[in-house]
Amino acid sequence: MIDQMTQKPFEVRFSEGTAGFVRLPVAQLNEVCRVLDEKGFRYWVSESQYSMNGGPEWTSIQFSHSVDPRAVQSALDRAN
Amino acid sequence: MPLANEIRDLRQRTMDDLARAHDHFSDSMYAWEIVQTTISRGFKFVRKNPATGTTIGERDLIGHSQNFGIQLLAESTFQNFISIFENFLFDFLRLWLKTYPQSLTKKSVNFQAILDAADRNEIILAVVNKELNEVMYERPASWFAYLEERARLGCPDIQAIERIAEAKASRDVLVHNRGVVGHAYIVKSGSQSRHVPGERIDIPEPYHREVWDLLRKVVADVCDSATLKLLAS
Repeated sequence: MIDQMTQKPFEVRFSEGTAGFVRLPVAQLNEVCRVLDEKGFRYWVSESQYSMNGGPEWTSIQFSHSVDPRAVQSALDRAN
Repeated sequence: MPLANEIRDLRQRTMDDLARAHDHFSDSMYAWEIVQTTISRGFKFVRKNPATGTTIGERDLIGHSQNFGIQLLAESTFQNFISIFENFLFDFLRLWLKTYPQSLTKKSVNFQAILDAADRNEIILAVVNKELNEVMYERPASWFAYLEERARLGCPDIQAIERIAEAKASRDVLVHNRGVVGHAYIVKSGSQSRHVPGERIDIPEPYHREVWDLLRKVVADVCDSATLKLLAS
């Protein structure tokens, strides 16, 4: 799945001991959440939305510590 | 100052403290978003921390943003919410007991404390503080039972008390157990438990917000009920 803002695949960010998260355009929130719901990942959408210089809005999704960020990355990579 | 005025000031101070804590969370999240966006647009740098000698570049800072920007920031401000609320509750009880110390008439006072005290109020305050120090080490359910026993305000309700108990238990996990849920969390959080033992506790943004809203509501309910009661008496 391609991030419409960066034109690159979505990147699930994480580091040792932290839960994963992904930044995404608000316009793609529904389609990303649909993929996450289908796979049963536990996640939360931030209530904050950001925009710079009048550009498109983005937000973030935070995953539970119990979710393997690599599995989320794999699911997003496979989704169309 | 009359008790009703002191309670009004305490309510305002606590609401301000909670607002400042949440603004810090929100502003810092935004600042980290700006950092990430700026770096993604090609900004490069190298910076050395003179205290630790750690040198970082823009990619390192992107990594830090996910630690500090989301997880640590949410956890630290969440702990701050709980601390602000605990201070509020015990400040409220202190004001109440100082005004109505008759409920403490069976408490004993060390004679030295009487000799050291400048006046009657100082002796009362010493007894009240000793009493509250003991209550403070109890669980939240006991705090609110104590509040009800002394002030008879009829709030907060049982569901709010259980949610505060869970939030306090989550705070304890972060402070005392490096974020890993243990048996103590399960016991303290009761029916509101969000985890099983061994899991790393989550402080997701919606939960962070819900707890903040809950604490504000309880502060308002307790203060407003007390003020109404005082005005009616």
